Amino acid sequence: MTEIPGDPVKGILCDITGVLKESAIASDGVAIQGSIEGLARLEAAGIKIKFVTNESQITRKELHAKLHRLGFSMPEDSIMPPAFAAIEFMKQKNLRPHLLVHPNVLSDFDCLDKEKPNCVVLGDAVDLFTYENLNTAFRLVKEQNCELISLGKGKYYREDGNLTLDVGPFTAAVEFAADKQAVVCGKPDAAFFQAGLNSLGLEAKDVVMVGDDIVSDVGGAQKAGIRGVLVRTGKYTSTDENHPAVKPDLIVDNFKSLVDLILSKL
Amino acid sequence: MKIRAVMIDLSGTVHVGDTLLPGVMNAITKLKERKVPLKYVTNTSKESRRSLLNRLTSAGLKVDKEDIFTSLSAAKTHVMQNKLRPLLLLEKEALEDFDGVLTEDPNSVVVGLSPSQFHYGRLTEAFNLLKSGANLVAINKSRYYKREDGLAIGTGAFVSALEYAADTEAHVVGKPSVHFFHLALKDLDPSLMAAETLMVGDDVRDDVLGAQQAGLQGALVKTGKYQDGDEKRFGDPNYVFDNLEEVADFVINQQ
Repeated sequence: MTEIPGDPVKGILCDITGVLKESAIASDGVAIQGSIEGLARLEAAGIKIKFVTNESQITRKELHAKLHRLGFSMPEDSIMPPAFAAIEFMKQKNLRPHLLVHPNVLSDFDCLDKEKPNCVVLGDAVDLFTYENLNTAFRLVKEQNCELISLGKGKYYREDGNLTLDVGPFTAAVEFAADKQAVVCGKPDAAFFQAGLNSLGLEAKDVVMVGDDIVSDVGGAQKAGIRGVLVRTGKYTSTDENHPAVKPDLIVDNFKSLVDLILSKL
Repeated sequence: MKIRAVMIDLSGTVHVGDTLLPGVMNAITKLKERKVPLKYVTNTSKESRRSLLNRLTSAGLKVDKEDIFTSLSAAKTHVMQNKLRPLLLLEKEALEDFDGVLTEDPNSVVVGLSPSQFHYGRLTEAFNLLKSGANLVAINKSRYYKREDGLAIGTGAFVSALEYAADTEAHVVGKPSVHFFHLALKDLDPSLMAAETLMVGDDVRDDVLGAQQAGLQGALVKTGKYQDGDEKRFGDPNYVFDNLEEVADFVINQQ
């Protein structure tokens, strides 16, 4: 029988897209079967949950509303998107951003001064990733020595059944051209996972991270000392099970299977 | 070793856009008068050789088709030799240099400098091909170049984006590939030795150090994309000159 290795699970860091729901361009998407009920069962059993997402195409408020329309009932402040981690970081370092992000997430950054930018923030800008927009970002980093921040560094995600590029490749483009490494706010950055643990009030050994991205979710969590569980939904492809660098602590068919396993141990 | 022949980069060394750089006409005239064998060796992939030739001639340079060796033509050779069917990320102006290449049911992605193709939708299309096993060919991996209005992000950035997305490595055809420098050398004169040939360019890594790795001598010029301190940052160029005219004077004076 499959087992979750290590200490009993007291808390979960949970990815959203690909674990709880599948994504679609023109609609809210679709809740993955068993996920809504799975979350409710975990809550009833007293397991703490925080949602660590690299979602950067909409504001946290809108993401929360979208999830509720699908039938989920988590509170808004249980959702941790990368924009908030980035804002924390920029406030600490007195950074004023030039934003190349999705238009729908812009208002999350209203609290920051944007005059005379000294940093560039790249998010999941989708069609705003044009040559000229990337050139502007590149020039700021290369010629004005701006800091470079990336909201997560995922390679791709699944939408309407097809794989489509995430922010990571565009960050890699600017990093290469400007000879500068980006600061990653979001998965797979260890500080982001640590913020998740702080939010749960738990230690790494008592928590598992569940996600569909072998590198950003599983690999990132493991580097932060957290057990990483891979689901076979979302962007998962079978080659992930033989990834040269990352070996998940556990692989399950879907979120519901993980919930079943956790609850069977209580 | 005495320099017998010269290979010269184009963009940033001879011209920027439609304008010849100061002293270039003098430099080329002097080298030709002394019968120094020379070849323009370029990673330019935004236009065909014919289009490039027109641009240079209109700018006032006396140049023939045979004087230019491009990474675009080296890439076509690579595609044909390996029987690849490419998805071409190239500008319209460069496509004629790929005439005769089969592009139906692509099994590879070829990337040149193509701002009009470097947008989200097209890059996702290329990525999906790579993810299902297609191989990636980069005409060059330039970080940036000098455009009339300032620095412009280069082909290499978008190649890196695809490499990262698809967990793959591109086969780079142009500079600084050692093979490319050797092909250019052979094209210039098969009897030439690498060590007696000088490569001149404004890109310290792709032009100068790349050539030195291939056994040629390398000269950095402080024009085009050159930034203060480039000569100290990445390795040791054999020579550093202010511009192409100084290079020409140097080569002639040691004859």
